[in-house]
Amino acid sequence: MVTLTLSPPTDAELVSRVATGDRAAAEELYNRYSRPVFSMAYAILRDRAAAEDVTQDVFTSLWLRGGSFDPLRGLFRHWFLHLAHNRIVDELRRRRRAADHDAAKEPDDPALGLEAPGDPANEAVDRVLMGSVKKALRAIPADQRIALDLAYFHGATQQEIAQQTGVPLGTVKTRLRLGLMKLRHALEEPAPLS
Amino acid sequence: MSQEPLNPMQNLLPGYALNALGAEERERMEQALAADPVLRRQLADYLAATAALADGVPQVVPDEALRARVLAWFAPTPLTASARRRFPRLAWGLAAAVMVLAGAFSGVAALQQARINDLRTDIAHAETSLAQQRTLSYWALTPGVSAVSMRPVATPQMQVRRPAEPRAMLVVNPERTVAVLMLLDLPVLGADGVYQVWLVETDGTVHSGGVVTIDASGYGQAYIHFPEQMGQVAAVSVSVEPTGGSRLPSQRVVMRGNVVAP
Repeated sequence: MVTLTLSPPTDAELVSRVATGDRAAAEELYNRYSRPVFSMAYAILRDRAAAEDVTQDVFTSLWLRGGSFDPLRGLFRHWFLHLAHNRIVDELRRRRRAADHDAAKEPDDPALGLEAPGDPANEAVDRVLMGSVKKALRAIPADQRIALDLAYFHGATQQEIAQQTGVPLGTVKTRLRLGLMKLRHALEEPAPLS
Repeated sequence: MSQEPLNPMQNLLPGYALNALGAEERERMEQALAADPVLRRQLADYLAATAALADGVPQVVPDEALRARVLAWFAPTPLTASARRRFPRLAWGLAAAVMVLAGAFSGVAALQQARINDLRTDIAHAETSLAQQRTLSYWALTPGVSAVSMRPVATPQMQVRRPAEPRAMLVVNPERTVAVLMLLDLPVLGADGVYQVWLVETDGTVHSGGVVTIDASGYGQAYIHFPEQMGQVAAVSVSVEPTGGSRLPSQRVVMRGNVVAP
């Protein structure tokens, strides 16, 4: 008998090993997730050096807090990308505050400012996203898509979205909820036969 | 994501999943999540949707220098409470492991250090090497590991004149499920060849351990996950195979070592 393929450990197995200080497991998780984390950071921050710093922070945090992952909260992949997005958004807001403090200085990078909603040229859906996710997002109502765009790609809080779009906070919450539900359902639907 | 009326915490879940809550709301949400398994399951649905947004951005490959920086952070010391409780046993085993492995590793370690010194002009590359050394140190200092020294096999590839004799070391974990292979001073192959690792059971069954990439200095390192159904490993070998690897080892075996039963 010759075995040609080795079954790789699952993410859950690896993260449980990370919690015991298993460096090889942490390295394997880096191999699996460095690209999506870095890509997300680069897409949102639009600054390669900052994206690298944030990616390093995210994996350092995983090493230090690997044991905090609770499998009952869902897939490791979803949890970890959420953790990474949280860190990326924190950095985006920190940079925005720093730019705001320097009133005389215009942000060097447009990512630091909240861009006008509703302008397709400014929506990350058009500017950044690609493939089936872009198609799925374009299919949901514009007000929900804009709310998701401002929250996820521009680091806006619900309150800021309400101010930016001129709608009540409750409406923003509803738009975010419906937008996420429709996005999830759209991505679960099988692709039409061509 | 049901259509039923939402309670205040459920109403905050989408904002939490998108990291769009204020600090106070976020803290309240985390307290609620810790106490409510239903809320946690609902959050999982929203996180699946936000993960899709992450998947939709163009994929950019980070630099190797970032990899070295991150791996350098992965300290070998176990960090959790349960792992810390095991540390005294590790400490006692440490001395024994050092005694056993010091001889085997001394030549390898010296070569590694010399190599790092040579590469100091390239900081990123040096960081990578340091991370590799830390990996080996971690393995070497863990009680119960076994090390297999591999010797070169006389072949045309190995008769190429090199400053040092090719050598290889395989370090196997106590459970015999994972191993680290380090190759030093192997001849650099052309574009049509790769080094491939083979695990040979006592009954002669051969398993591929994957291919190993060698850099310009003849150095390569690989993690090998042993197949679950594999029996006792009797020997390990490295052969030259066509690019992409082979189903079975060729006749061009360049390194071989016997594994002593635990």
